[in-house]
Amino acid sequence: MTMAAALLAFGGLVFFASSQTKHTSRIYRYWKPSRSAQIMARTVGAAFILLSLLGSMVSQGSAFGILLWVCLLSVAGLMIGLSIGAVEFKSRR
Amino acid sequence: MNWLHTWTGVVLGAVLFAIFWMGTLSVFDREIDRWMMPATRIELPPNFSYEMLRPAYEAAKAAKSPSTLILAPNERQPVIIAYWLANKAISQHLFDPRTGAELPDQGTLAGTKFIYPFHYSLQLRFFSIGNWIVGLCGMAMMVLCVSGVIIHRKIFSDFFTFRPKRRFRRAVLDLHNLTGVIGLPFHFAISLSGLVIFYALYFPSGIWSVYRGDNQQFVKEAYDVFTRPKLKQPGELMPLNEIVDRASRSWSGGEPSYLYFFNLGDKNGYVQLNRAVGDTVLNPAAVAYLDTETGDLLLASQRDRPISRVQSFIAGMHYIQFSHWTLRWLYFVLGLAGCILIGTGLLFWLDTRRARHKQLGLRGVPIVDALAVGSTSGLVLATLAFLVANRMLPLNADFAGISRSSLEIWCFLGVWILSYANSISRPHRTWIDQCYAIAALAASAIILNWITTGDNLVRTVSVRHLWPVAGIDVALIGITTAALLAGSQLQKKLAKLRTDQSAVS
Repeated sequence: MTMAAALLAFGGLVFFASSQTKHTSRIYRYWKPSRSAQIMARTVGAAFILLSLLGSMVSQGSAFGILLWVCLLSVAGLMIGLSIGAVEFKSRR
Repeated sequence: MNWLHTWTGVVLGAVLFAIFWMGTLSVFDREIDRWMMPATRIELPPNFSYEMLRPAYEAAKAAKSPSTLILAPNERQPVIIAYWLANKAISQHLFDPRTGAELPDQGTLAGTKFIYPFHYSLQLRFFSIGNWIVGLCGMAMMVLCVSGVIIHRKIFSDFFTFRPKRRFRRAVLDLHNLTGVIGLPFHFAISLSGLVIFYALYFPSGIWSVYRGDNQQFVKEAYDVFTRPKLKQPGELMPLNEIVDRASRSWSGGEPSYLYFFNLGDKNGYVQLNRAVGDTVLNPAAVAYLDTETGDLLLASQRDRPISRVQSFIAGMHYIQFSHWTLRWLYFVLGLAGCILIGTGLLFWLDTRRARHKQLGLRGVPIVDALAVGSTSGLVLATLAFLVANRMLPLNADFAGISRSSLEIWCFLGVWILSYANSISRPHRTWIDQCYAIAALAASAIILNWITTGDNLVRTVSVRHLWPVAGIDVALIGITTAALLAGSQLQKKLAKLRTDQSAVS
């Protein structure tokens, strides 16, 4: 369940990142998400993140669950930021 | 806000980095202890008997200490650790949990006695000045978090943005923003909880106004502290397993993390037991006081008052004494992110002002440059020197009356000062020098650990109870690799810069 919560947090933030044209244009040069795709990605991202909170709390209890969720979100966000940077770094070399 | 963010960061950045770095290491302080104290690399017996604490109690009684604090062994710290007063100083003693026999003194303060106290006191104990500086930095960190959000104009559109291929200044600012914005909840919560732990020191006005300066009365009421004087009649110590059972029943289950004995060998002797907090965020969770001769429960506290529980939760989330390896690693990663946040902040300040200060003949950049190098890579270097000294010094080392543990600290301070000297004397090559020095020291620490203890990585990975040692070795390999890569990249850039300059001239 903890692993599922971690994957949901990561997935949710990936959806958020993919809704930003700034990032999609850095990875896919000729593709931009449409407005409706952006809204859809953000909605799915928010749902994933909320599910991740639920999963953390169910598996770890409320106290540990919230702590774990906050930390998971931060680390997942850092990983996504660094990954996007690394992809851009490689693609432009 | 920009001005506030910039100058708070520049003035306190160096100390903030030291606090964050030591705090990050403190996440694994017990594991560092096991690396630095080879005698503690033993397996926790599956059926541990609390009777094994009796030799420690008897030794403290023989030393005529009025009290003794005995830490029960656990998964992260599989030895019994006892503290008692001897020759007007508190001494630490290690005991084998399988036999109760005293282990040889390891002559080091290691993680729990040096790195962890450095995190909250900078080892400046005079008038608690270190605690005050750390408190000021904690407040400053919160100011930096809030002002950073306000001055970051594109906070939403720049979310997840890191552009390493852009010019240095942009890439550094991106990394600063990424670690700052995404790690914001953690950085804010960890700074606030650090201040809440020391509320009695930093915010004493409430205690003063209610208790009229009577701190002891406050502590007694807030923490349910029990005390009683000696009867000056000899008393016996009842079976320790029975004492623990009775305390455990008062908490509705759970093992103790420590037993604090008072009035040793006296009829009025009593013991304070704190419930282990492995399964809860709250710290402390519950306390019980029992008579050491009769086992009568003198006082039991669950810390169930709302304000007390809130304080315990906030303190517990900062102390991370709970058994939760996922959270421990996440704290470690986010702590490192905090270090990157502070380091990149200093680098950004330097890069934006370097040319202008040089043109105007100002001394600001060289000073902050030296501070940035000494307080970031210099501190990492000093920490590694501390580990290397630990493995190089013989067990009974003594130099001009300076004990082994003090020699280790002198090595730490000496290397730290040398790193500042290096940053002043070789400003153009200082980062490269220090990257290579970090790589060399980290590699030496791994090899020295292998030579002096026989615990190489293959062995430590294959034996379950040596995984903490393996973890430190793996981290050292990571540091060596990262420092070598950074050093070689910087050297290439310096060589290219020199080639370009000579071509221009």
